[in-house]
Amino acid sequence: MKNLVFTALFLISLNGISQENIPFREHTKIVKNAISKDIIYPKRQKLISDSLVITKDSLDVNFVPFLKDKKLNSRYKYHAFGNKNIKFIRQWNVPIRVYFDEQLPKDIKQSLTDYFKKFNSINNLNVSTTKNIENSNYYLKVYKEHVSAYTDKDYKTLTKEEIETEIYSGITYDLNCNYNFKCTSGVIKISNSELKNRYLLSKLKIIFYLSLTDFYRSNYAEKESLLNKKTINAKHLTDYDILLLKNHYNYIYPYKVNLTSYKSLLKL
Amino acid sequence: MKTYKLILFTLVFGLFYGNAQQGEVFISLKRFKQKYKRALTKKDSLNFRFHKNDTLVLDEFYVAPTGTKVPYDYKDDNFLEIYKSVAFNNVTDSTKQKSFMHYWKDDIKIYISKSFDKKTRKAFFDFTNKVSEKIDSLNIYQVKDPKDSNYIIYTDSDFQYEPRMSKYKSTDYYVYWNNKNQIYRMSMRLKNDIEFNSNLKLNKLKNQFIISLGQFNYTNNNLDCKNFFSGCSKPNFELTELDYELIKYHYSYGICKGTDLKTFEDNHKRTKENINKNKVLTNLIHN
Repeated sequence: MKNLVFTALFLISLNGISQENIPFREHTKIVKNAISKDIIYPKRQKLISDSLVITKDSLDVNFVPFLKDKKLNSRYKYHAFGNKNIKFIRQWNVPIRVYFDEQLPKDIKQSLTDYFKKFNSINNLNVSTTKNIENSNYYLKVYKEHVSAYTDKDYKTLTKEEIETEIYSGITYDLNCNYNFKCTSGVIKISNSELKNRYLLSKLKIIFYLSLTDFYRSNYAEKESLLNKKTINAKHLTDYDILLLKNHYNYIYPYKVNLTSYKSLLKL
Repeated sequence: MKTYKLILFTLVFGLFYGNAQQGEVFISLKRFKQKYKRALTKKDSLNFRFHKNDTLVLDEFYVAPTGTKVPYDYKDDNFLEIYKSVAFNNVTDSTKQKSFMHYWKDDIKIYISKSFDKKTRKAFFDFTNKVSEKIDSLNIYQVKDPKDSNYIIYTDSDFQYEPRMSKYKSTDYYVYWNNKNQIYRMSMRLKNDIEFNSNLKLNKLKNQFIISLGQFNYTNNNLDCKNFFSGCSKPNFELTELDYELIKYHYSYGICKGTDLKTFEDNHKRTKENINKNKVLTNLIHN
């Protein structure tokens, strides 16, 4: 009996912990003149004030885990969080309209346009191209000067092949994301010198994918996956890439989600 | 009735901030002991006053606090919780009670560089004018000469008005405030390659502008995303009624401005207790 009570208490507390990590959306309503207080000093009067009424909704009634496979889910957690609790899921919550710099070779632009179409099979994700920069929120821009995630010091340690194949050598990207890690615009910055790089298309495909997810790449991702560090000539999205992306965009979280809150959601 | 008024007067000003002009201030025995840490003398007992079940004693050495009296603007606790997380940094961090609120004391005179197209400039000033109209004590207007401004908006392709930001890699702003936490100068610099079209520029301008009105934060509450202060509003946002109420309150005459979080919380706790228990509405004293 004692054990039964202990087990019950343990389960209740466990349930409590998981719920705690999932916030509730607060809907507010200002009710005019709802507060009235009798005042007798400095003069008899009624103090009238508005009231802010807050109602809380569960945010996760629509959350359904996408990945049923335990192993794949574990891979997802690595790519999305790196098994660290300080990292939050990054998602786009507006349709993505890509504008290409005119300096980009035609065949690259065409290949990328075809590649982007594949993303439209993903729920909550919409990618298209536009010829009007004013209508865009994603820019693939070519820079005269050299842009790179690597410093000059880093370059001294890279081999010629690595300089050619490392995705952030000669290319970087910037995103505009809000406080909840929801992104609304972005730029891939491409060094002019990269236009001659035979791996440019592959690099752009990988970086675009990463800019949608902020995933970590790993040596343990499936072969040929864009997420596999060894993939230097990415041709297309693999099933692995698509499944993880589908899981990532299965639900647009209306709040910040880290590993703990993600695990809690899976327990719901 | 006359006696009742006298006692009430002494209670109010004795317990809280007394009025030295009236001469005598009476305080409760409990407060007397806390303040002077000595036994009562015969002289003290000659000056006792009684109110309900309380004995009041004359506070001979009472010194009225200096500062400006601010009429209290009552807000409910739900509102105050959200306001605190918007106006003060690190509200949830109990070790950082010394976070301060910041505000503009003078009119905000904005100069915006001509490298922003006319349509963007107009849309931005339509937005700031609306804010200015809704917030009584906040005047915001456009100036044509940077020399007349205290708020400069430019891009990385313009003259670099704020040298400290010239090497920043992203859009940012730089703000100056004095020892009273009054903001007196501000520069906002947009990076053309990140905000690469007029829609993105306008959205960033509006966003940073609201934040810059008080070094505001997005709230820790999970407010509905339609509210700007939720931190999850989408591009082309408009301010909601709650957003406006938060800014209005920040610039209301009914709060002490530039205070730290602890002072803000103490002021509210004391004044609300006074309203609820004693039905007395006191002013706040703002130094």
